[in-house]
Amino acid sequence: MTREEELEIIVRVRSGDTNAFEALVLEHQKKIYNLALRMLGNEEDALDMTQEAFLRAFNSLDGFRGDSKFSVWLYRLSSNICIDFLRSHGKKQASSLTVDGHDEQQEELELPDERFSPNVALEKKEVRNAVYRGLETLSPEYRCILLLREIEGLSYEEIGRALKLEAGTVKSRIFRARKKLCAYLVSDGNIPDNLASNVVKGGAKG
Amino acid sequence: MTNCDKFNEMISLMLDGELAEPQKTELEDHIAVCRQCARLYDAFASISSAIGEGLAEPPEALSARIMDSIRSRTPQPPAVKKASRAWGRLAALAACLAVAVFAATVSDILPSSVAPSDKNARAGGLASAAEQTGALSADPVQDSGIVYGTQYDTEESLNTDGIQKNGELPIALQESPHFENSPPPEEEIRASDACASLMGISAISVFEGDFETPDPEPIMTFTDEESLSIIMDMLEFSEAGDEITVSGAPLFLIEITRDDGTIYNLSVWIADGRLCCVSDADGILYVAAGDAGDLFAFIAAA
Repeated sequence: MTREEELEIIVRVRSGDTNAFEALVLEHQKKIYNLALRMLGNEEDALDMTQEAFLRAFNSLDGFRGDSKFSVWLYRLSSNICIDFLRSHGKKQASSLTVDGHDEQQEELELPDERFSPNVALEKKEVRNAVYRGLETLSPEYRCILLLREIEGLSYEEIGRALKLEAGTVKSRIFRARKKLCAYLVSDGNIPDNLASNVVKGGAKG
Repeated sequence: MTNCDKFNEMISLMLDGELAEPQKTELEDHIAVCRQCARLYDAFASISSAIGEGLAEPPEALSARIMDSIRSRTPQPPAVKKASRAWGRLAALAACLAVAVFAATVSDILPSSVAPSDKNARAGGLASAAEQTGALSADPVQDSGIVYGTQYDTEESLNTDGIQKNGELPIALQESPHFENSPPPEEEIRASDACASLMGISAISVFEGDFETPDPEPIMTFTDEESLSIIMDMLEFSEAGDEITVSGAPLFLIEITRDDGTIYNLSVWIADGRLCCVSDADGILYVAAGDAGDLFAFIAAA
């Protein structure tokens, strides 16, 4: 769907054609659902929040000015909904991560093996599951910013616009989120040992 | 290792297509000779593909479910089961304020012979205000939306029939005999009061979401007169939002600092495309004069 087509649909919806909105739902639901799924960690909540995101988008469509992509605007709504949901439900989050991470220690990250080398036939599914577990250890803010990059493929500038962050903050948060995730993967005892039998596990669990 | 620190962040940038030359070549040269950075590159790349390539398919019925909820215009319950705690606090504050105003007004009006038991009335009022606060946090949530309009209302209900018609809040006050025939309170609290006085505002800070964000930093703070008056114009009371339902956390919280240093907050939602505000001074939802998009645009452009 081109941006023009999208704007055309939005104009139609605004003028009262509710059914036209379905095209936007079909276009974006997969990515919004996956964002919610990885943010919240379960399908049921992800479905509820996806629905809530589109509902809120529909209800506040008049607030969409068209100066950024509709998707960026929608991701912004969705991110806020997921983060609010996590906060209001007191979901566990890594207490070591502050919102802006200023007081975070710049710990050294040692990668003790070639586990992630393309030459190691590590099952993608195994890595994926470990990454999903690792995501849950990140604070909602870090998780969200990384997901906007990895799932939605937003540029730093778009992420900055979606989350109202400075470009430099986007850059450093994505980097820190990846580093945290790596540290988790290294310390995650659930990565099968047979994939790298001579691995010396690094770091403490957790 | 310190030498690698700068490359570490560059690896992240490179994977995101955000690293320009000549750093890109510099990084590639470094990775070719540094085992540790090569591992980090592999690890970051694995994370990217693990998240980005394994997208789940949403259930087929999802779009129909979404469209159904839109057509019925009824937000589904799981989305916002409870009003946010921030709202709970506002409601509590609003309830206390209302009781304080009523109590003060009534004690001014009542003849002195009634004054001793007035104390009890106040105590009762406060106690039930506490209950009412609980009710406020839960009751206004219907079908996951928060219904503000009827809690206790503006001049019409206050002035025409006095307290009897005064919505749900001062239930205990209604039951109190002292209030039955009392004249309408002289003081009234209106949503617009907070915004009515455009003078004497020294700063406006805009925050995102609710105040539960730990140590929130404002997105933007305005102190110049022009911006202040533009924003205050947009936030000015336009009409009562009796029929309007807002759900979820507010989009913005706007902290308004008066010249004398006192502060009040407006929670801002968009409902039906209109800018809806609740002041923590009175907890009443009203529709602001400005256009929601204009406010966004103004804040975004600043």
